[in-house]
Amino acid sequence: MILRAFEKGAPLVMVGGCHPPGDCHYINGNIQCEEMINKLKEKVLPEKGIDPERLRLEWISSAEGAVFQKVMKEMSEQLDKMKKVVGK
Amino acid sequence: MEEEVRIGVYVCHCGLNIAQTVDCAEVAEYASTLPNVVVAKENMYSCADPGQIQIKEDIKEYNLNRVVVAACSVKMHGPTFMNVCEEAGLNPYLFEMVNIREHCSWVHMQDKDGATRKAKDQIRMAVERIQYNRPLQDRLVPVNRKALVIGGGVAGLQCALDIAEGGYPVYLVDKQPYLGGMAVGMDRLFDNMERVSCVVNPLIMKVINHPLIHVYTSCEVENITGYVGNFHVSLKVTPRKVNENCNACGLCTEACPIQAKNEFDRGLSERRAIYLPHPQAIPYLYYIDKELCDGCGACVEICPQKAIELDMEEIEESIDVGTIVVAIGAQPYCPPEGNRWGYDGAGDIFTAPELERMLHPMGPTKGRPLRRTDGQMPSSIAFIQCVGSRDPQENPWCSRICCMNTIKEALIIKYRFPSIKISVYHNDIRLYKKNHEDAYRLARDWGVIFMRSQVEKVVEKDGTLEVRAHDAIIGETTSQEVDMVVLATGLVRSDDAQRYQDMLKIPSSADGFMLEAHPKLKPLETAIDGVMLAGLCQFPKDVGDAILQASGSAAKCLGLLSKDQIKLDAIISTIDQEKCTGCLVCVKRCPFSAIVTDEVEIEGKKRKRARVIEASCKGCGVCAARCKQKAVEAQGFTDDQIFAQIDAALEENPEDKILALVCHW
Repeated sequence: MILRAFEKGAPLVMVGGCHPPGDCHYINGNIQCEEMINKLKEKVLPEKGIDPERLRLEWISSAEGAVFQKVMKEMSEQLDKMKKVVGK
Repeated sequence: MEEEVRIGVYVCHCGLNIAQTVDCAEVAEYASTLPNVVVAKENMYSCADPGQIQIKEDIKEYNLNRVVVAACSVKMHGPTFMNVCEEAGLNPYLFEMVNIREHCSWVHMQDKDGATRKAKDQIRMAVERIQYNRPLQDRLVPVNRKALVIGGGVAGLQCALDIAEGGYPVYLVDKQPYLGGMAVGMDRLFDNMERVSCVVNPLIMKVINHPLIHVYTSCEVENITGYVGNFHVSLKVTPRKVNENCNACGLCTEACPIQAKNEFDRGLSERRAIYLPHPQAIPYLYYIDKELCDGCGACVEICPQKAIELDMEEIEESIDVGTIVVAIGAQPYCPPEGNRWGYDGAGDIFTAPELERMLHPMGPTKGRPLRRTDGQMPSSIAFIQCVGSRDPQENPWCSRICCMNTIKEALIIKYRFPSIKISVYHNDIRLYKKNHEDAYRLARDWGVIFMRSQVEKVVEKDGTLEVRAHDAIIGETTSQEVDMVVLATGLVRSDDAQRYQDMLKIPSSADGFMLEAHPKLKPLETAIDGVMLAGLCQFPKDVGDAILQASGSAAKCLGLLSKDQIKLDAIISTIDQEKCTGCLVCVKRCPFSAIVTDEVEIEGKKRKRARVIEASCKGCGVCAARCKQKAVEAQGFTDDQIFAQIDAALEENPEDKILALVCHW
């Protein structure tokens, strides 16, 4: 799904879940997710020529609206910077 | 042949909640141009009867087999519209909800064009996704017909009692070694001046003596897992180290060499490492502070009852319940260092909870308001209202109890010591309940002076305190010297709140208090099915309101507990054994041990194949993500559905978008 998003032109992808360890409704779903994201970042994305910085994993529970806001603002700034680089 | 997909799209205005930011007419018009959309309409309130009836009629008239509603959160009205579909004969899983309120109009109020574009994108994602939705069936799961109430203050006590009276077992847990919470620190209650012990102690006794209530004191909830009807809770009971033989003679306290501040008296008195938590504590047993005790054994030697067991160990216990009430309370606001009222915990400026302890006949000063500096009775006291409340810079909310509390404390002082002059600096006096006005009038009749003044500063000068204020009526700065100042401190969220919120996934409102599922329609429930709120953890309230809410939450719990079974959604995994190659990664990875191995015969040979146990599956989709054969499908979240959403999201201007994949839970 993440690869599909990059393939379709998404500049940045964020994956969100609750804080590990223990804070996951699905027990260790978040830790399993982290394993798979790490594999993507370390191996799959570089092989495909995609900058791993374009994928961000964040632990934000549904009780943390302010954190979500902060992450989105940061990613939005990151996107603006990326556009400037491309623009040059 | 597959039947033709016929979609109806409904764009809700939610009054002006959505419509003032998103151009709903334009969005509906756009939706009607999307593939397979047969009808697209706007509604003022889709969730109201006319909106619901319209959807039902359209399903019949246009022969719709998919429905998309763009409105608020699926957590709020998903079930409403699923029900609408079901009543119109459509499988509820052929419905999709698009949140264009919380996810769009509310967060993009400054950008109407952008919000309208985003709403269109969101609807396009749902329309593309819903083409792949398949009818699913809900599961029935048994309900564990017991309740857990966290917090033994008045709210928790009343709630536990009401559930138990309804006939179901209740576990009541409090982290303190006594029951009664914040209320038992007070002497009397506004407005009829009843003694707290006459109100709360009988309630505690009813709870303790109830055969269906199991009380745990000095106990913390360590972890909670599971879901409505089936929560698993781990508890940790801190050892009291004093057994039931204790008759509270107090010899142990005299023998104990370790001193500490008595937190129950707000630090106005001292206690030992072994102590009675407070003079009327229930259970009436001594308690050893394990952080302080060095195990010297002086208490063990002197105890005539042989009640002290220094080697008593921590107990860990697991309980299973069907429903949970969070009643963990709140805590008094503490003015930070350098505050404009000059409070530092040392001089003659007190907080309301400190004065409350002094006014208690069994408190540190035996019911007299005494100055910290010289131990004398003051001849004048100034109360300052709204300390840590109604301040746009810090805590913007009204703590609701402080006006009542100040008038109560003023009346107690005037009754006992009529010569003490009392003045109250307030923004407004907010008294709104039955008989409150009478108490306010009485206070004025007894000579309490109420001034609508904003206090600018309190300055200590030669043993007296100068209160400088701006009087709102005369528009001038006033100054008065008094012997004692009392800050009517408000309430803030408990230090424990976040831990419970993280454990149970309960969101906070902007003020930090726990958020109810809906302020009007669901004030007792949280967004998490089976988890209710009672008392101060939701918002400041007086004892009467806390009890009211507790009884309400108990009724909600009883509604759940009265059923043998409840419906759970159909969002679970299925495995196609034809595609499965028996690698069993899913069996290994499933967090819930919900996948088992079958031995099946294929072409005369025995093969291993994975199978999902439906009742145990929680629908996390870990198996589907791991399966290389694509034999596992997470129903409701199939690859087809999610790919369709991703493609639709990135169809226009992908370079401007950040795509977030976030957990469904």
